[in-house]
Amino acid sequence: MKATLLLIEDSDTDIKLMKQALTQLKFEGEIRPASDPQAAREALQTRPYPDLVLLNWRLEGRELLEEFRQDSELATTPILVLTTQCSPDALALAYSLGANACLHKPVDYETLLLLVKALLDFWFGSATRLPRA
Amino acid sequence: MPDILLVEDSVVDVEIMREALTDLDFKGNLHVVEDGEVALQFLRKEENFQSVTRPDIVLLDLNLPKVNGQEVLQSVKADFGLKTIPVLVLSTSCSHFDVKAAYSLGANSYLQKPSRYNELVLMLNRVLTFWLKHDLSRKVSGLS
Repeated sequence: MKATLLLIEDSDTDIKLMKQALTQLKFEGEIRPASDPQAAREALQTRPYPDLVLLNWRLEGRELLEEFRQDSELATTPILVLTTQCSPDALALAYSLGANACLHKPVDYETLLLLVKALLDFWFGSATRLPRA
Repeated sequence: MPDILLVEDSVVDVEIMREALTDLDFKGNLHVVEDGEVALQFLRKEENFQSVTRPDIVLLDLNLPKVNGQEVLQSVKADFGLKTIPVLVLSTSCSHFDVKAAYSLGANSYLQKPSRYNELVLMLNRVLTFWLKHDLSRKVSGLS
């Protein structure tokens, strides 16, 4: 079964770059973009359910993360926060609300490729995930 | 230099882990504790651990003496000062019950212990790359 990656991101450019990086790294699953919080909520409840969520913190990340983690059905769905804010307080909040990891949103494509490779290798190559029933 | 806390009661597994980290040229510190009670003392800097460094990641076995891995996980994730430390559960169990329980208790990830050495090296390499080079939790290590 192919993996589904939900990308909660409102920048068309960033979506395009992420898709390009994933394709270049031979990710063969579905990349499902959601450009606003309501679209994110709907995309998360659409089958096949996303195996992993990348959440732009700027896009009501706090509210969405809090909401998603209150849903016990989503307990096993990894949510990785992408952020340009690296203040310790903002990061602490994201981890406290249940982000599995927080990642610095890269500003150049080469760094993005390294990040996406590490992400794919770990989450799709080594981590044990549990698909939602 | 990064610090890893390995909570593991199997001497053999600890030695294999050390060897794998050496093969990966890991330059940080590997701290090992053998049961859940001591793991919590280490993380809370109690007893003999008052001068230890806060670990950057915790690799947590589930089957532990005294306080089991799930209880350790629950305590860490309920503690305001500790909950931002990534806890990666490392277990031989692949039961859906254990995986779901670990994620529900706030495990940052769940890893199945590989049976082959080269698979362990590959897995650890991915752990080090993702959690020590890309994840940002080390930036909040000063909070307590």
